Amino acid sequence: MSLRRFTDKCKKYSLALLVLSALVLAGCATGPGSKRVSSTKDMRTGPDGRLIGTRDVPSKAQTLYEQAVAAMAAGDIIDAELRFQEFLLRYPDYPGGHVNLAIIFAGRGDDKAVEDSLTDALILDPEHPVALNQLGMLLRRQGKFLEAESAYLKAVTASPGYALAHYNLGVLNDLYLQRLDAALRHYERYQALAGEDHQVTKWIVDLKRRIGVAQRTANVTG
Amino acid sequence: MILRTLICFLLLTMLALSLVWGSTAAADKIKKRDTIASLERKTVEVRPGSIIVNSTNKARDNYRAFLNLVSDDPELRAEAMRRLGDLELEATEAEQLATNIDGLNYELYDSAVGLFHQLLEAYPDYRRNDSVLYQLARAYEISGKTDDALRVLNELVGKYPDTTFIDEVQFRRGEMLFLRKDYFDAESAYQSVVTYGEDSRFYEQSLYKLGWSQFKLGEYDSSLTPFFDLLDRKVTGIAMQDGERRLQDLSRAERELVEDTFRVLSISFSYMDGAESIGDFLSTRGHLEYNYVIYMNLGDLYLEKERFVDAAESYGAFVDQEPYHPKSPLLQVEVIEAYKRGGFPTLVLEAKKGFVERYGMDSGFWLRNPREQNATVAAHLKDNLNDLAQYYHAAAQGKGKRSDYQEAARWYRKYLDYFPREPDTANTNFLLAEILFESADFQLATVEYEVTAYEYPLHEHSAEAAYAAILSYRRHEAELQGAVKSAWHRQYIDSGLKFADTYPEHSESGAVLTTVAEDLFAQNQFDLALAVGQLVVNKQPPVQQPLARTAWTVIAHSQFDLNNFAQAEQAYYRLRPFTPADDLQAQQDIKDRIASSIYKQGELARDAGDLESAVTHFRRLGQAVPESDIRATAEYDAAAALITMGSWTLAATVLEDFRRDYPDSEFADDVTRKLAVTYLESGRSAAAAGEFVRIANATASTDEVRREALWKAAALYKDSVQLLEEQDVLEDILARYPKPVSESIEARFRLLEIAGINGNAQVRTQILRDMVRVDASAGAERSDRTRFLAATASLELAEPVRRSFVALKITQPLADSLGLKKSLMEEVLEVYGAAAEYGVAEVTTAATFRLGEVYQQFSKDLMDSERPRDLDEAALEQYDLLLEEQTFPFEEKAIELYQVNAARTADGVYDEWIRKSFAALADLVPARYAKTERSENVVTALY
Repeated sequence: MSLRRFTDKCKKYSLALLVLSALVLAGCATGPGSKRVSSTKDMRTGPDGRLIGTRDVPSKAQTLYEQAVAAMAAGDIIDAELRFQEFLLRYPDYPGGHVNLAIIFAGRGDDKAVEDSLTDALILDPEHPVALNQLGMLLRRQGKFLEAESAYLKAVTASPGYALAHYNLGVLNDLYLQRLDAALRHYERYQALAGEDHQVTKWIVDLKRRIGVAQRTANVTG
Repeated sequence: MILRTLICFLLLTMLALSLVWGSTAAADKIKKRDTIASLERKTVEVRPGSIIVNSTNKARDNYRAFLNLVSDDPELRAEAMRRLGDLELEATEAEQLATNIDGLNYELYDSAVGLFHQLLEAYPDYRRNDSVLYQLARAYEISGKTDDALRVLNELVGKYPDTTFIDEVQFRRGEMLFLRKDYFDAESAYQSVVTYGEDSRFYEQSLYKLGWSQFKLGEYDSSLTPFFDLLDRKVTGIAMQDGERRLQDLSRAERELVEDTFRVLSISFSYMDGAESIGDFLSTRGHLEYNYVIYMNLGDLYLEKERFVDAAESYGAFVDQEPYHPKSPLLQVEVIEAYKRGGFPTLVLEAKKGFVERYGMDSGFWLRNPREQNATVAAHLKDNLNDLAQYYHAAAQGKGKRSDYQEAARWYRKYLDYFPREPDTANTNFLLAEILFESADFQLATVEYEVTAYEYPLHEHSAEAAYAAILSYRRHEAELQGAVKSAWHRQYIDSGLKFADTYPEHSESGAVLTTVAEDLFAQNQFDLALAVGQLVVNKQPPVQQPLARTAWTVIAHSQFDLNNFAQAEQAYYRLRPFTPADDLQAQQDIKDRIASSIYKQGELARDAGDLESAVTHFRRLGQAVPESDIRATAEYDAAAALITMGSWTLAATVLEDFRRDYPDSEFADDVTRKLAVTYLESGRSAAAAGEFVRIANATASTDEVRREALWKAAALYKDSVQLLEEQDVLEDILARYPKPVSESIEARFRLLEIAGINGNAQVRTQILRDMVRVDASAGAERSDRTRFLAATASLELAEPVRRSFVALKITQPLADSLGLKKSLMEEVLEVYGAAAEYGVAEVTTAATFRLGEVYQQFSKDLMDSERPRDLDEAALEQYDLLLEEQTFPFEEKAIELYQVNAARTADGVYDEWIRKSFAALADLVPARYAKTERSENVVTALY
């Protein structure tokens, strides 16, 4: 239900999304999604380079959040979960907390909790790329492949430089949707955004071969 | 001196005459009713006394001396002689009176006689010789020489017809002649006096004796005139009374005279033509105010002679002649009496009718005669009316003739008409009502009873009449129909209530009221019956037990019929103590009624929506009347109300008790249904299920109901985890309702689950086979569901085959075990293939996966198979390579099958078996399938 609400909201904002996407594409060539993962320095800019410094974050909130992130990064998942929960009790309006909880729940295999957290996050920010990526993964696990694709595509639309989303789109199209072309394209985009990945390179080779076989087969049979 | 002497003489003479010539006085002594004979026997008694006056002797001496003086004047001498004679006579008389009559000195008379004779001889022309003769006659008479006396008087009459005392002389003659029974001459003598006229002192006496003389002569006609002349003189102007004292205003003497006259007249008339003669005679004399007496006397005379009819006719003659005469009614009474004494009942009756007809209060009589002065007549009228009415009343009762009833009623009515306010009027009115009732004239009887009861001051029949009116109302009502009947009935009820109101203190009123109450009840006039019944039971002192019993019965029944059930119940309790303990039927009836009253209270409360009260009533019925026939119904209704109220626990208790107490009740099936609902509502699923099973087994239930009930029971047992019971029910369903298959297959499915829970693999397998079989043979009833269940079943049936296949290790000698393994594999492939055939998606993916798994397993088992022991290292390596080559096609087949499943994701199919297939592929073909999504480890951005 909450998810439905969310998607409805997305439709509402679709025009705004398009405008924003255009701005982003025009203003920023780089899409360093990886930076988001490792660095806290660029926290004032989104993965798409949007200006986010206009929000005035209480230092207390900032501190609590950073402590939770640190715990999570250190692999202390239980501590991290408690801290994020505590943070969200006080500051429920920041999507980051929800998304981190979703990652924690997904690691634990609690897809119901994942769904709830993502819903909360996307209500706060319907275009949150990480939340959308997590949502795509969740939907894939549930066998909702086309909806998963849609979530990933939103993520990459909101944040075109978001390499993980392309990687995941590759897997989705490769194994589950069995659209080899699309898989190939997203693997290649991932390579382009994230740099050379040895395994992915092998997958690309295999895909190209299979596409070739398929085409030949098609030509022969066609 | 002379003058004085003369005066003295005259006085003496008069005295003497009055004493001796006392015929008049003698007549006084004739008593009433004396007869002629008795008259003749009368004697004159002269009492001795000394009233002689000395002066008389002196005068006599003087006269004697005068005569002795030789006087020449003949006149004077005659005078003196006469006087001397008179004095001598007087002296004689005086002496006679002084001594007694026996010792009378006749010589002295002789002296007087002599003197008078001398005088007559001496002076024949003496102018007063008439006096001398008169005295001479006296002297003779006194001396007892009556013949001489009569002779002298005859001479006197002959010689001196004009003498001044001719009337007296004739009278004395008449008397003497009468005594001698010479009535003829006596008549003439008396007639002379009468002719002389009424100036005579002897007139009346002469009339009397004239009449008698004529009577004696048999000249009755003639005698009437003097007698009536006498009566006219004596009676006219006298206020004559009735009966013995009718002449009390007269002196005794006159009274006797008159009575004697009446007497002789009656005799005369009786010798003549009786009353007819009276009429004839009186018609010549004109109206006489005492004429009725004449008739009356004649009647009386006849009566004495026991000539009753003549007597009656005599009395009646006057009545006929002057019906409005004040005395006529009394004579009519005499007529009646005469007939009565004569023993002529028919004539008595007629006479009485005649009386009433003539002297009824509306007759002309009362216009002429004021009532206040004729109380006696009124009294006779009353008596006669009563007699007549009672006569006919008795006759009617005796013979039952309609006309007699009518006559009786007529006379009673006349009585009421004439005497509306007499002390016994009410009683008469009552009798009228009675005769009308007896003659079955109930309408009129009713009216008269009511008049008797309510329009007179309280009398001995008041209450009785009031009640009789009620009975009469009923009798008449039975003769009526339609609107008239209704109207009459209303009056009847009013009358009953009026009775209750008017005579509450009457000793009989309790009984009457009770009857009225009963009657009103019988007429369905419950409110009135109730009111009257209450009057009965509230009476002080209390009415007798049987009445109280009846009254309470009426009250209770009325309350019941008026739907006042609470009051009815109380009334039945009140009735109980008045009902004999050994009257078992009555006791039972009361119990039944109490039960009904309570039940009805429950019903009313229920209909009014007051369920709580309804339950109270329904439940207390059993406590009040434990053995009541309707107790079961009440308990049942209590349960129903409790269910409506949602009082499930109590409802359940009541229903359970009901089932225990009335196992064979007609409501048994309903109770089961209600219990089912109750248990359901109170969350007692297992108990509810038990009830549904009962419903399913009830003979009254339809097949449809039974099947549904079984399913409901099964579901409820499932809810309450009563697996054994659920299983029984489901098996029952299968046995009884194999069709429709869509339902029976579900029963099998649930049995399958239960067998699984129970760990009963054998049963489970059997059920699975059944499911496959049923689906296969369902024909037109085959559905996606049956196919699905059959597919699932076949999958499960494959499982033990698969496990035995998996379990079998390939050992040496290879040929044996491999052969066995291969045959097992073929078996597994067959069963999964069959399962996949159903085309049920999730079964197909499972079967596909299992098929892949079988191949993979075979491949693996082949690789893991026992190596021959006798191989050296090189040979073993060679053997392994050879083996690997052998396994390859099986692995390829496995991959192929997994990929079939994996490819299904493109169609959106993604289930457990597809995931497992992906997992297997990731293992078998990692380069292509070991691909998982990537996620951030942590998100550092706050927003």
